[in-house]
Amino acid sequence: MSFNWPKSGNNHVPSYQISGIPFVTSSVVNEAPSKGVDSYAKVAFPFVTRFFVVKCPTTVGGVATADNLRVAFSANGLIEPTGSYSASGNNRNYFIVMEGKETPRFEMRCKELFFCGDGIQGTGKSSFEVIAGLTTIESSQFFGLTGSNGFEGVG
Amino acid sequence: MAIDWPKVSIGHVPSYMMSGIPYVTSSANNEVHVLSHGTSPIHIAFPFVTRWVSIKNTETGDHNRRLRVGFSANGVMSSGSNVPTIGETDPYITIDIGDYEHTDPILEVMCTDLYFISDYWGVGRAVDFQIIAGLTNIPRDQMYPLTGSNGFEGIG
Repeated sequence: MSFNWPKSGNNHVPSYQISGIPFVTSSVVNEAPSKGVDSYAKVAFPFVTRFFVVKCPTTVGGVATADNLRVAFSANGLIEPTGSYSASGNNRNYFIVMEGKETPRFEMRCKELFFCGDGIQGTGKSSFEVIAGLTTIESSQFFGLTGSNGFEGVG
Repeated sequence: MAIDWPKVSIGHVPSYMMSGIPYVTSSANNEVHVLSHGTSPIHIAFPFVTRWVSIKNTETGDHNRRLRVGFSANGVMSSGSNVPTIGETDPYITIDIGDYEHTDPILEVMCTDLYFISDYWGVGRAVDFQIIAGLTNIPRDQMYPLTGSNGFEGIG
């Protein structure tokens, strides 16, 4: 009996055509740390995403979120840019979600999201809520989505 | 051994049926100038054809600081050879400073390049932007030149 069945890879189109399996998670208040090297909160999805929405709540359990939220696809992606726009990188490879706001439904495939606050280093922490629609593609089938692996625009 | 494998091209439908590969980038603060400043538009070149894009004007304060976005340099400067003849004649969109929000819904357009200038006339009225895009796995060299001179209306 064969045990090693082939798995669907990340380019398996029908996996993106069916509706996503719900995945919802959130931080405790101000769990996303203030910006800084290796200072982040991370959500690792068990399967590759079909879409996701990120929200930065103004309060969590009645406690106020300290600052806006930075979101990236790699830990390096959260780091500040060091110059003007450059096609080879060196840019802000993160996006910001303002307090009380949420993103559109980003139809994007990834297996990890990284978060930190966008405010002053040391105090500018933030909170987040994530709802994602997952495919049935295991996250182990997804490539390493980093700049060092050849992907521009992720840091 | 065959080494020149065929590449997927822009008409490859399944490439648009999958979710996009993330691409996030931005300008530096006040990097996008107005035309009178004597600078060229800021040019973003995607490594792959886009499945969708979402753009945000990250300027704060002055609500006149709108961001102008086009799909060609001529388009964003409204100097192309094939601008639309119905309604608005300028082949670009403008994005208000808003509340730091991305264009919603996402813009499901295939392109390889975006161009940006400030829509606020005058020196020192620069703006800045942020882009998040979902990319296909179609290499950018498979996309045709999206310009008015190549027969595309509404581009410039």
